Amino acid sequence: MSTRERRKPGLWVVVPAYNEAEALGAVLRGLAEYLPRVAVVDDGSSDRTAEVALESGATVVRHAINLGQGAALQTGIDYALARNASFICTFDADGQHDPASIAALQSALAGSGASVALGSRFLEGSPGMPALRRATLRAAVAFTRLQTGLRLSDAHNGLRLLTRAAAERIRIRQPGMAHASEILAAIARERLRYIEVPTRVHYSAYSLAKGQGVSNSVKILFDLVYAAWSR
Amino acid sequence: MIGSILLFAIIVFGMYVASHRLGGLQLLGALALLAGGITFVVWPSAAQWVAERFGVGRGADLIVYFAIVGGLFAAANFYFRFKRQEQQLIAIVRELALRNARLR
Repeated sequence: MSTRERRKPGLWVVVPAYNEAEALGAVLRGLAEYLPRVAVVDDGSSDRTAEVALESGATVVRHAINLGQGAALQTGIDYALARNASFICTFDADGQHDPASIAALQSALAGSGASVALGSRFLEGSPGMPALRRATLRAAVAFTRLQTGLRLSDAHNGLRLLTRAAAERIRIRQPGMAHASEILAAIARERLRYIEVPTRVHYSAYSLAKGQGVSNSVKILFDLVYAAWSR
Repeated sequence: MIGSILLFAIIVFGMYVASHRLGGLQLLGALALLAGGITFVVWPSAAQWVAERFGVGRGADLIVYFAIVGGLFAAANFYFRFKRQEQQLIAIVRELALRNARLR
């Protein structure tokens, strides 16, 4: 990458990935138009995640050990900020997001005056979403409203677009999966203006196996109570 | 018999504590634990006497209550220390990751 390319401001796509070698290649091919400004944060994977990312032409930021998705996201955001990103998009590595949604988030954010665009699975229907997953996500939405006062339709979507100013004001301290609520709490605390943008999610057997189950939400809840207490 | 085993355990605990540098509050807690332990093992009736002053029925109950509260404090202490160190570990791993990424 030339020095000029490095200084060029623009959109960075941050993809946190832990043992995602199987799905990551296809995800990065889908993100081809954003390469090489895709930062894959390899969160201490034991498979070929880093190699797959490098072969695809993405930038790889590698955690020496597995820290959790929240920590990986923050590392990716730090990296993108250091590379003068003016916009940062967070994108899941398991193939559930549609790369075309990024453009939708960008154009929605551009005219809105908001500094955060959040993807939502519920503004339009998400066919193929299992009933239990739907119920868990609904509960998360209710919890978010209680905790932050934000009236969202989807509280745990990995697809987001942040302006540089917004990204600088969000610090993710929860290394695990509680970061989604933590980001929303930061949006509420910092009074950042946000919009929700309908995005489709593709549920494959792979992304479902990787996704968050009901038992995990109990752990997330505990992490959040701890975070609120220790702030 | 049980008294001498307990005394031995308390002495081993005391030597273990003495071999580590402890902060003021922790040292105070450890010393109180040692003194209380020795007292109640050597004079079991002392626990009964204290319990009656506190309005607790039996000396054994008093010791159990104190043990539970002490255990909770210890667990909380370990938990928060673990969380602090987790944040430090994250900072180190992140710093390393960002440095290596810039070298590429």
